[in-house]
Amino acid sequence: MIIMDDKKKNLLKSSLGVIALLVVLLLLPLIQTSMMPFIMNLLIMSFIYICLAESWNILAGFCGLLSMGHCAFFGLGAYITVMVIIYFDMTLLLAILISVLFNSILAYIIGAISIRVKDIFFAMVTLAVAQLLFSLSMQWVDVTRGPRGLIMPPLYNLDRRYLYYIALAMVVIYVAIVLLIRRSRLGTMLLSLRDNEILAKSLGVNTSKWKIVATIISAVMASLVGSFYILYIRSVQPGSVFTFDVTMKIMIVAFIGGRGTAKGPILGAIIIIIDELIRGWLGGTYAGLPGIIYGLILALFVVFMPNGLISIFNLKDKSTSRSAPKKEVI
Amino acid sequence: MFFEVEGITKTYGGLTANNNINLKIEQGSIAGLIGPNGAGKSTLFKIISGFIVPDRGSVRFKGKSLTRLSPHVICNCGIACTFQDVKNFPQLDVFETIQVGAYCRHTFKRQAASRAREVMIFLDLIDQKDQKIVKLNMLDRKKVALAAALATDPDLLLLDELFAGCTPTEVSSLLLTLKKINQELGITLFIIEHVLKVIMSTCQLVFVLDDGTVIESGTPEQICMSKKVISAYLGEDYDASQHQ
Amino acid sequence: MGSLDFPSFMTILISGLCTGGVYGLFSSSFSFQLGALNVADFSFGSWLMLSMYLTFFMYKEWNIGIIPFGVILFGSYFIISFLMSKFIYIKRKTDDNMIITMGISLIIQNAATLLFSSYPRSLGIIEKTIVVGGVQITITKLIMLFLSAILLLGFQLFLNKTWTGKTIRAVVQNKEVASLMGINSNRVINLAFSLSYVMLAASGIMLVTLFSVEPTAGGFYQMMSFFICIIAGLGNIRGAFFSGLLIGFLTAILNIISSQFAMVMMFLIFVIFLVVKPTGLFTAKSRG
Ligand SMILES: Nc1ncnc2c1ncn2[C@@H]1O[C@H](COP(=O)(O)OP(=O)(O)OP(=O)(O)O)[C@@H](O)[C@H]1O
Ligand SMILES: [Mg+2]
Repeated sequence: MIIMDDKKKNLLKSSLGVIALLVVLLLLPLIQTSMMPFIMNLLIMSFIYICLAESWNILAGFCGLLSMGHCAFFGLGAYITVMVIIYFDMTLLLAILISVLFNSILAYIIGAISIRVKDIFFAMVTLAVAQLLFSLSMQWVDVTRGPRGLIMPPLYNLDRRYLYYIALAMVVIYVAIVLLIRRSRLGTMLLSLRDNEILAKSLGVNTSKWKIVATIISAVMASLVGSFYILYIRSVQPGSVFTFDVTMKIMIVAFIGGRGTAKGPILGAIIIIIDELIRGWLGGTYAGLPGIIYGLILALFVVFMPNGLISIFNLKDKSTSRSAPKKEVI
Repeated sequence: MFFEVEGITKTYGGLTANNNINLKIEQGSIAGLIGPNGAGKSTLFKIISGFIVPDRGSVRFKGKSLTRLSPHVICNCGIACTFQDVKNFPQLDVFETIQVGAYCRHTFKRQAASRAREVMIFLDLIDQKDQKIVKLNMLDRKKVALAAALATDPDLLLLDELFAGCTPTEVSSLLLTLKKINQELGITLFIIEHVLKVIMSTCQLVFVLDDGTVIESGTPEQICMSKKVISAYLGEDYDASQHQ
Repeated sequence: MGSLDFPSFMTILISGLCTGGVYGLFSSSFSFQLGALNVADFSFGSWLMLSMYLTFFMYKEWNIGIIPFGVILFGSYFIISFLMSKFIYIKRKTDDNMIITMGISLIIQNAATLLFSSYPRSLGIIEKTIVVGGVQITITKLIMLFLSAILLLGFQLFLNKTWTGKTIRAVVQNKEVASLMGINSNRVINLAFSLSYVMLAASGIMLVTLFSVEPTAGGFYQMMSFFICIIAGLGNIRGAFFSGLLIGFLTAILNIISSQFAMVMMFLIFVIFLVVKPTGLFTAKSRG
């Protein structure tokens, strides 16, 4: 019983912390300073990457499927949304729905692929799909206007403050979704197939079905972020959504926070803030320096802190976090 | 017939792991499968549970053909198995591991959890509920594997060398558990075993596999007397009466 | 496509074939790493790019002869990769290695941007061509094709004939048995890994004679080598060379069909191939 009390106390403590953070974030836009647009942009960018990292986590953390082309879902979400609005004159909601539909189809295909190919092959397939979309969006000039990209019609210019709240809500919902999945049947099924697919099958787990379900959920989540991105940035180019840099950032956020954890990406988003600050500070000079720092952080984190920042804070969220992943040396 | 294997054949390159295997098992019984190393016992179990597709032959269970079904479908039909090398989910705790099995029959978490709890109580695992499997000793690991398989509510349970690596006391305790599973839950058992004590003291029917073919089948007593078995499996100068 | 006459068609094809030869070389070294040693190296393309850059500067600015340069380049690639394998890769799981190598790739690529700028550099060798019945063949390309074939043949001989090569093959085929026989398998793996890096450095030198180089070039070659060695079947070195030729050919043909969508079609083929036949075309009878 004493143990239970301790657990409850911890839960209370961490939920108090979360509530405090939320209140601060909710009230923040009310402050009137000239710095506000800058700060809000910083936060919205990190919210976008938190959401993407949560979506990536569902595949990489729960299923053990390292998706290296996660930008494909995100970019497709952005592109389809804006294309439907521009070319078919539909409402925003319909455009978002259609982009979700397209992403689900793509996810179904990728999920089906994940049944056949594993590990590095899966990584390569997803990478190739992203490259394919990049080339297509670059070359299919008649539709995508190539490298110049597409611009959202001014009809949908939302106030930055609304966008901020939408992004914040998305973060809360996404974290909740991942936490829920972890505690639900889906989570148990996915973790079992990640840990030992053969054993899972022998216990009646339809591994193919669950993998596809997970891929679709992950893709839909990324797609919605894409739709939000186009609403916020108001334009999209192949280079800003379909490149490996985007996937890399997603992975870095997920890794630095703590791979496979629900709360990890929130911590990991620090890197996005640092990144934006460094870029703002360096301006156009020293191109490449932020990338070097990124690379260093990524490599060092995997080597020295494989469980991410969350392992210091030790916020035990009955997560999927891994014990130090070292293979046996013969 | 409850369970029937007909003409199962599986070759690896030139090696015939299973050669035209036929066997039948009655509902509610305990059947054994013995044979020297490399006889093809595990291969047969993997074929039954759907992990290996046989070249020829069929498996029938409760009047249904199982050939070419995937493992999870076969599990749903009511055949569960444990593996020779004890497999586990490194990241899941005992409770959740058993729940994986329980989800085979239950859609909702509450039902699956209560089913898992039932099985844990039945196998006396409730104290280890929140342990990670890697922290358990060998006996408990085997019990967890057994429990997860039981949680799928099987009618037929295939156990591949469950007793390997256990001390004699552990063997006795597991043996009692198996008998309990058979008698109280009415689950038919089909076990591969090298520990002859297990086979002799529990099985009603024993099949002897050598070089991929069933060379003899019968009650444990008949097997011990069989010249073929003694020469093929137990060795020329084996004294069968020791193990009665 | 209709306006293309036969000689120019052949010119494009042969040039594609020669390029494919060099692709084949670095892909087989990649294939060796990936299939045989089980290291999923995402920094491969960047190291290749770095080798191309260094060669460029050696030729244009540094004024050291090709032979001392080669010794320094191969030596440093050998040592760096040996240390990385020993201290980082060998202890970790594939997943972690993928991420670490990605980080390293990012560092190299951005360091190149920082130091060399993102402006593409080209050796600008004046191409001598020979003309056979209207078909133009570039001499440099032809030389590179033969050179890669010779290098690979040498590597094969090394694996088959020398003692070190044989231990590598033994470890690749079965680590446990090899270590039972008293072969220190970790050291051999490190050694093999570094050898693949030497091959990689050599491919870099050859590539820069054919193509211009920019910091992001690595990604393309990385993708190509994945593609090629998956077509060949992982770990199949000879197969990787022939797949390289095949891909060079295919790229040429796709470019003839539609230069706009050549890359799109390429990736589409890649994805379809991975799904339909992930085990590869030349599935290894001879590993190594
Ligand atoms: N995937 C495979 N490829 C090639 N040969 C195999 C394969 N799996 C099993 N074999 C061979 O098939 C034969 C039967 O193997 P099996 O594992 O069924 O034997 P077993 O009776 O279970 O032996 P043990 O008592 O050691 O568990 C063995 O000779 C084995 O080497
Ligand atoms: Mg066996």
